[in-house]
Amino acid sequence: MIKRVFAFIDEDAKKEIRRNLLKAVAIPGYIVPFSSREMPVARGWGTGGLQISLSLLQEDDCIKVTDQGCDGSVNAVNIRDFITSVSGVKATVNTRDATIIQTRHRIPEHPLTEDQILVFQVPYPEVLTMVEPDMAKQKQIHADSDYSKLWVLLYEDTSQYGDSRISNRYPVEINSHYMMDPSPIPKYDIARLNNSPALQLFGAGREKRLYAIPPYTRVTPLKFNDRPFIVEDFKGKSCKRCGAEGIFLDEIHTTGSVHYFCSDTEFCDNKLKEAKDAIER
Amino acid sequence: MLLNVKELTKVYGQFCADCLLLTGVEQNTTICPRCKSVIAINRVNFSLKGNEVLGIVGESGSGKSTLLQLIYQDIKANSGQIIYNGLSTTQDTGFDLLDCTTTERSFLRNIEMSMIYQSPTLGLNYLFSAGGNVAEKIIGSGERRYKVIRERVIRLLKRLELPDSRVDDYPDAFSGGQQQRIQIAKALSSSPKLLLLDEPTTGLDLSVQAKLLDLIRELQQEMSFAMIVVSHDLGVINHLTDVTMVMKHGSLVEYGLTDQILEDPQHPYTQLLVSSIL
Amino acid sequence: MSYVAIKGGTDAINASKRLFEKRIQPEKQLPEKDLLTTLPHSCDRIIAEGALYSDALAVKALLRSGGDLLEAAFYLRAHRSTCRRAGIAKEINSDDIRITRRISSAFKDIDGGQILGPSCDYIIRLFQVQSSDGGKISDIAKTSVIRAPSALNNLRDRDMVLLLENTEGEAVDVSRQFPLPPYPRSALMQVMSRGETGSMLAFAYTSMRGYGDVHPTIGDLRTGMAAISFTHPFTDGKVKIGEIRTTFCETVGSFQRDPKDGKLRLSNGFGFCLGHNETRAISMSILDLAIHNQGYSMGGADIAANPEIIINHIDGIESMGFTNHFKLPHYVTFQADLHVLDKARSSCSD
Repeated sequence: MIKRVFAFIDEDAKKEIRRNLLKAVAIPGYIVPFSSREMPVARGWGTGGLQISLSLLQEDDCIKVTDQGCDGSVNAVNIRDFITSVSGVKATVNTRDATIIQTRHRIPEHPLTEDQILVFQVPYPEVLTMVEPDMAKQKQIHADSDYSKLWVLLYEDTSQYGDSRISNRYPVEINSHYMMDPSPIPKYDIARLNNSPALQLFGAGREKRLYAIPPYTRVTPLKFNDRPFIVEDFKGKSCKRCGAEGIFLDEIHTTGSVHYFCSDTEFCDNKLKEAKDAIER
Repeated sequence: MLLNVKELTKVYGQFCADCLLLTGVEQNTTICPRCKSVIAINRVNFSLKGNEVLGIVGESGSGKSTLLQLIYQDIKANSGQIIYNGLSTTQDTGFDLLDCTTTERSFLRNIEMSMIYQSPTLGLNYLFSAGGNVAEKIIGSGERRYKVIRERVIRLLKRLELPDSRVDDYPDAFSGGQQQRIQIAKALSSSPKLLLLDEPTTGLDLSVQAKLLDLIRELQQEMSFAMIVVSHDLGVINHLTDVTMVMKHGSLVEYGLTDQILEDPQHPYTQLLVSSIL
Repeated sequence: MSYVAIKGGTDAINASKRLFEKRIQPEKQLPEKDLLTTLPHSCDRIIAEGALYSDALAVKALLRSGGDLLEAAFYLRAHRSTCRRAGIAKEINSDDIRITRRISSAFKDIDGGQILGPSCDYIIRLFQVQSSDGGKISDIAKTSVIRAPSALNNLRDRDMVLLLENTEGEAVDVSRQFPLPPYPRSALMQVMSRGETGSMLAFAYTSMRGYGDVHPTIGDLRTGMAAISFTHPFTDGKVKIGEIRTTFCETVGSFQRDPKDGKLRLSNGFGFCLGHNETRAISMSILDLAIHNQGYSMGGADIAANPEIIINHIDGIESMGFTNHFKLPHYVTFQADLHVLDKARSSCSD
């Protein structure tokens, strides 16, 4: 293989990304534009998260890449292979061992620590897209913190359907100020964004935007004061493989029956291994 | 005083040094002969007490709608002052709308004042339901309890004589008169201190007009907000207002109690206006 | 050498044509059969946009046009006008095709499995990187015949998918008669299935970015060989006359109230094209979804949901032709423009 710079992107570009990340951390939930280079992976396939990960990577880092909670998913395999091939850093599937975790659509089940950075791949950085597609107007709305259009969307859905129709990418308020798109994580993961010890970074390559939730930041979903925030319900269901309960489960429909499995496959494997070790002991 | 308007001026064009002197009632034009600018509003002064109802009359092009839009901050004035005294914290000093930031502007428009446009298409969002439109303003004024919002939406729509079964229908499914009622319900939902009405009943048929005017009058007495009503129709002005301002060529021609102006107009232009209508 | 000269125009035009032929050097061109096997995606795009399924003609058109795909599709469209309609083939059910690739993003596991098949989706686009590891391909992938029902059938069985009412009798044939508004869905579908890939992509992309947002998820995307059958003119039996390469895409949108019974169901859109071209099949399914179902957006104009915009602006042969027509002489109209400008200028300076 031809020798390339460490972690693919040139150092000036990485510096630009890191400076913008600092700005994003300084203003939690604020969307920062960045140059966003072309990656050898298609736009919309995680190029924003990838650029953040590459710009932060150091030789002694250990990277985990996951998609839908599964490290074996096509997107995760592709990006992990790319990152390790251009940087030579260690890769892991184990949440506990990773220093940087790049994810698409899920937050790992195992609690994160202050030493870890969670990097989200973001398709739509702008929470207002569904109520105001015009970027100049979006900027004005954020400047005025006048989010009444989002609230009307919630009002309309509550009146028509009893609750919001938004199933993922649920709007969240960061530190009682900016409304933010949390990337397409399920509602179950929304509560887990709140007060996280880990730094959470968000990258949207196609839209050339990044933003951040610093550690221990208050994150609250858009909801009326007199209405509960209802997340996906797996009550009475458990993983068919490891028996875990109270976590996010995948629903597998086969003809005539439904089965449930841990969405986070690493969590599932660990649980099985622990059970096996216990028996051996 | 709730509102003090001082030397308010709006010019479209270059705005040369002679614009204001070469236009107005005496000069009988709004177009500056030197630089061709249009002087839409030429050094207008007036004030409004809390719960007073002011009418503005004048022919089309006299600047009356522009004046409303300047107050509501839809457009920015070139010079002058619009001092708003409705905020309790600024009671003594007043607050100049010309200096306000966009955040203050949305606060003023969400809570302190409301505008009812001649065409409901300007005042309503047709992608929101009738109830959603009203809810937007209630939410804008800070309410975050669904039950309270929903109940207030339904109460207001009912008060405006719209069936509550249609609260979730979209505005374009309503008649013109009903759309205007939705707009009024929306405008009143934040309990504003000042309501601006730009030809609120023009274009509606006569029976609908009369009913709507009665309703506006009733609501004004019930909720005791101040109003500025722009109309070319002296009937509307007579029906709704306490004091009246007559405008021509962007300038104030006559100002006084509505009864007085309609019965004993002083300025020749007002005399012409009154005689041509009554 | 004057552009507007009355004499010499024909000579200049002939010379231009000769120069074009010289530029593409027909004597050095690759054999047609090699082009089909090494550039299958070029051929498939020509076939789809040209709306004529013929590998042999697609390759010829590719050579004739010097690799300009839209120009090549144009050859096929023109040729199509010389062909009689032999009849109307039997309906194809996408469940019955011989699958080469089939994925669902909506479900982790589906009956019949996720079959990645041949795809460049997973390739790192770097010249230094080998596109594959050169390892063995399993015999199953090479030889077995795979058929599978749509991954959405499960939802359909549970009555969760909104079914648009069929208000048309026989489908329209837009090549015989172009409909007036309101446009029947069959007409929109046909125009989209032969629309220009880039145009459809752009319109579908506006919907994705919030201008009418329909929140699509790919329920079932498949490429494969579809059997074409006819009714035998003598026996009245069904006879298979051949197979064509096809791409199908079913997209699921957000839920809405079914006007039929007031129940909440998921909206869905359908995309189809001749040949293998996933981008256009996905784009078409999103446009179909946007046109017939309410968008989620409360924000602004949904261009992609406007059948008038879509049906009249996505045909590449038409838009390319018209765009290039501006190269034709326009000096009469332009002279008239200048006259009007002169008049206006002199009236303003008065």
